[in-house]
Amino acid sequence: MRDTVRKESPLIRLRLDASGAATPGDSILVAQERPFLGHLNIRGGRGDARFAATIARVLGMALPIAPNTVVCDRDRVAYWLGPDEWLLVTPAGGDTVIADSLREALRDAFSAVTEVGSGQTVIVLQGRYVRELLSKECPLDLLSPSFGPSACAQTRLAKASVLLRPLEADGMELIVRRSFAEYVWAWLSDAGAEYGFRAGT
Amino acid sequence: MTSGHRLAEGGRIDRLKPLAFTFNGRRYGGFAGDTLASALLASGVTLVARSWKYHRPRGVVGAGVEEPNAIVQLESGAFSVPNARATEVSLYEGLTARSVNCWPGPEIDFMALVQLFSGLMPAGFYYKTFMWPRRLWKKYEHYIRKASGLGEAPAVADASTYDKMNAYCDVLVAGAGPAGLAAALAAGRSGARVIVADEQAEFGGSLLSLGSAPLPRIGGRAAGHWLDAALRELRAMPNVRMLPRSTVFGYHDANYLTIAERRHDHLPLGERAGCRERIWRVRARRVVLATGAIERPLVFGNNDRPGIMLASAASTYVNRYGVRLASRAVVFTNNDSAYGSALDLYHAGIEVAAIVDSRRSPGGEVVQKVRDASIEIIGGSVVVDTRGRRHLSAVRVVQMDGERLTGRPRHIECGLLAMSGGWSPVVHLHAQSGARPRFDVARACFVPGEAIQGERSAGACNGTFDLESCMGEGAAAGAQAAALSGFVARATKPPAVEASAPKAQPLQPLWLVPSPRGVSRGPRQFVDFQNDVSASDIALAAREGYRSIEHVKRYTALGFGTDQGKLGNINGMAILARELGQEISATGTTTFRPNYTPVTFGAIAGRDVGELFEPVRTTALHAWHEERGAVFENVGQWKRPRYFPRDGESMHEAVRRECLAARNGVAIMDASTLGKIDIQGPDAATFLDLVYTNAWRKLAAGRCRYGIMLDENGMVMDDGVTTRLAENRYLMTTTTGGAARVLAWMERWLQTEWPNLKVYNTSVTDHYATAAIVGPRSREVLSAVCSDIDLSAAAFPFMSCRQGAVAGAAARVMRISFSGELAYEVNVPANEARHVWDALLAAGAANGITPYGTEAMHVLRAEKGYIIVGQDTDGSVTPADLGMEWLVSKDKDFIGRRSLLRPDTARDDRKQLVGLLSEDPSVVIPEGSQLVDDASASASAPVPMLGHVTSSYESPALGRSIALALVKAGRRRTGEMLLAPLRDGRRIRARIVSPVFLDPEGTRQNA
Repeated sequence: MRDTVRKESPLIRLRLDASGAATPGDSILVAQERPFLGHLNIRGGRGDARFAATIARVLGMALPIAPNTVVCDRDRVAYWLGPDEWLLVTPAGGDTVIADSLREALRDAFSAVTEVGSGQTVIVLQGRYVRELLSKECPLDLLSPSFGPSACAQTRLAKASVLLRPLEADGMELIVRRSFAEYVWAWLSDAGAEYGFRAGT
Repeated sequence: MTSGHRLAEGGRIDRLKPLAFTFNGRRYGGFAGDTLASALLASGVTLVARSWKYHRPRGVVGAGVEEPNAIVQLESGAFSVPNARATEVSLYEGLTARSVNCWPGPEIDFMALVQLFSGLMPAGFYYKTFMWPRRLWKKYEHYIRKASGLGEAPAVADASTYDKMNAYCDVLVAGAGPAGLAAALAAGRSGARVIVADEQAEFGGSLLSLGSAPLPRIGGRAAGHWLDAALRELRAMPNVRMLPRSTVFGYHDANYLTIAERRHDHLPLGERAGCRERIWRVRARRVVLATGAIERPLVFGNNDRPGIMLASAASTYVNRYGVRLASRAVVFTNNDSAYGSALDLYHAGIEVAAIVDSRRSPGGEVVQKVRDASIEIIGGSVVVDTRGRRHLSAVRVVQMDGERLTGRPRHIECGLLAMSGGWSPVVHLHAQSGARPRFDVARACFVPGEAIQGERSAGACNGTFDLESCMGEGAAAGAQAAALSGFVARATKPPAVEASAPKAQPLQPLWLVPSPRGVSRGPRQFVDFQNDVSASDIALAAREGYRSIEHVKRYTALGFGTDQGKLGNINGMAILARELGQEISATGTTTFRPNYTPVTFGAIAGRDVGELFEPVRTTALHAWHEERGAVFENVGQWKRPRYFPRDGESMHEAVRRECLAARNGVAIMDASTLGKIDIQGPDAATFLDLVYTNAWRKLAAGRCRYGIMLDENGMVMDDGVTTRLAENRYLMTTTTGGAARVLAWMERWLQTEWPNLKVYNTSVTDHYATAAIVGPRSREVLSAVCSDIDLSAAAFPFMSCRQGAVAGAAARVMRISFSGELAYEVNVPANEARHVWDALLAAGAANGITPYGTEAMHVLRAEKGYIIVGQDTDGSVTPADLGMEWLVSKDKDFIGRRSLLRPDTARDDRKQLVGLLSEDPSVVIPEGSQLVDDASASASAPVPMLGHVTSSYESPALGRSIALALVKAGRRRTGEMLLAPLRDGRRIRARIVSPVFLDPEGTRQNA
């Protein structure tokens, strides 16, 4: 029965205007939404050594321990958000099963597993000047070589919070809250005009 | 196009690219590479402005940022720029500018009559004359402001866009003159990330103004070739970012500096695209300040006539812009550097009638060169006065013996007086960084003091004036900065400089030229041209008892204005020191504050304008609301539907229809904006007990409870319904506006006060969308799309929660009510919200399901006496004030509890929430109305205020107006009549009643 439920992503109104496939490059900066992925907020592990082991067993992957890093495993990405907080992004629909398994495995541990997939969305930017564009209103040192793939950072972009993850080849992933998504997209489109901002599908 | 004012050759202008421009309505020509000032001078326009206070004729004094006079209004309408310095405006085709502060123009200025009375207008004139009688000041001020001031603020919206950029670097170099370039090269070669910024269109600083005759060689080649090579090398380094037309205007804490980059002010209006100005916010590990020095004018009688300019500016106009400034010039100096300017003029074919040098017997290499050119040197003499109506025609030279003028004055005719009183290092950024410049007596200037932040000054801004030493300091500072940032800087020997500045003889400090008739009676000796402050004004301030330079500044206006005293301040401080009989170091400087030069408001606003001014947060159902024609209101950053008017309906009619649907049928509202926090952990109940006033342990799983939160003062700060989802899991709701604040508040307490509590809070506000289905028919509607929850009153009672599928979506359904009606709140993942909402609308169609907005929601809750935190409370209201003592547990501790026991919070005559019914049921008392005792209607003002109306509506269900109010000892006064006197003269009588107007037994919501 759930199959019949129609979903709408936070940026559905803007994706409808997308110009189709565009190749990012020197004069074109392409933005795409990756809607409907599973997002799980995972808390726990404070003074509990079994927590990490349990997670690793259930997920088949370890959560990142180093601050502001990610661990990628096939199509899943785990982001370090704090000493006892992570975000796990999974393929669409994958979050419910994982959440149930995690809650079951962690039922005796002090932990929290919370679905937040409808509360945020993923925007992927590609193009040579992505980092320069974001530097306009992100106070982090985005041009530093140390901010490369396997890093992530919770920061702000203009007046919205974002979670950034550098991708290979001039790419950057932004995770934004649903209610701020249109603002962030409007900002990107405005500030990105000089770099050839385009919405891709 | 050719005029007698342009040299036949030379300079950095492109004579193959003529440009036309308009100044004060007349067309002129110039060349690419000109500034507006150089083009005007090359067109023979020397009278460019009228002074601020006395409307005296003024000309160009400087060639750069220091210019006090040549202030223009650039362009008009949406491109209008007030107070641009003509010396910094790059000329472009079609440029239009006009003088400020004169009408109709600088040549015929009606306000110039003021000059006749200038002797009657000493410092503080306006304050002394017009502040009495006080009540008339407002009238005077209007005319005084009109007569003075500079450019005009644009009257229409700015056509340009603005931008910001955050950047990090290892070494920031402020200034790209010889010292700055040497620093940037040294740092860049080490691999360090370098940003080098310069306010001018071209990098090179003083190298751009070198003459052809005494041409220095750098590193074995002509200075110009060295410059080209240096710039090529810098451009080739990927780790170096070069920012021309970029002023480092602020040096803030933690080596955070701000730069204003002017990206297209130099282009014709039609060619401008993209952002006009960009503010760079730079975090630099190390800073090299290479901001140069500004030549000081000399202070003598009538030293403000057009035709009198800085010697260095004269060199720049001749050498860089090929301007033939005059046919005959006099140079007035107290130091060697102006001798170079004399030679520049001489080699350009301008007759130098004499060099007037205050030093008795100037000597040395450069002096000899001047002698070799057969230029007369008048030693031990000063210029005491000048002549000329709209332009300089002659100077009066007198011998000086110590401070005494001797001998017969000598008149020398000339059209240009090039003056030099020495050089003032630009220590502004150094001072902004928190350091204190110190006065160097030997060099007679303020130089950088001890560094407070990671910065070092190099070159002229460090008081080092010869080219070779400047470049040596720059290279050393750049290498050191790179090394301190962790890079290995190869020890590169600074390039050798040949024959640039022969060894200079010492300067003789000359802060004020003696006046033949005394400082107060002689001709005005201007210190600050832009503010018309003369030496006599400073002397007067000292006589009137002013001691602090900061006070003298504010009394005389010395150092105010768009140039912030870049030319005149140091002379002014020295003159004050002399008047007070103290050392210059004792007088000190005024505070150097950001911004170094004015920054447009547009650049400061950046992109935070228009639709991007503030994030607009929308719910998953926003598109539906728009399609349905909702009228929105702002709730915090959210846009919420206020009401949904049907064709031709007024707000009043729409709200009435929506309210009646909720009371009599079924209505639906988007409640997604309420804050939602998922609280998990074994100590969750303990935690809730601490943050809420009421008890939570005994709440069963699957049940909901209303709670209020207090701040430390015991005042209500938020409220909402919290549901126990499972043994160790709760879902808290907060007010829409309070969501972020409450989460931060709870985290603060958890992390700082109760780290032992095992609780995790996760915001799920955005994850869940919420539809509130309200009204006697709501059960019917919900049951049509939800088959796996037993919705019967017995199985699903009021204040409980069930999980199930609604229109196929996994949902949490809470039976809670903010209207007093039978109601359900359906929470689904926001991605599925539209699907579920559409299904509910379809299911309710037969029952006339009516979408409603926040206005109807307000009416419905007010009929039940439910408060809105922030509307019926204001941060000074306790639970007892609201009649909610029943919500305050006596058996446990919670935030704010202790404050409730304070005598003031425990008073029984505090303002309390009551209901109000106006005597005339058709009258809605305006919200915010003050309330007084009915008996005071006849009393004379002032009468005691008893309280105010917090919420007031027409209630469709009751068929009359209702209001909530906070009234002193209100509950005791139930039944009494109060009076709301309105501004329009109406006096509304209203009786105090219970705040619950409808269904006090709660029959409807429990149905």
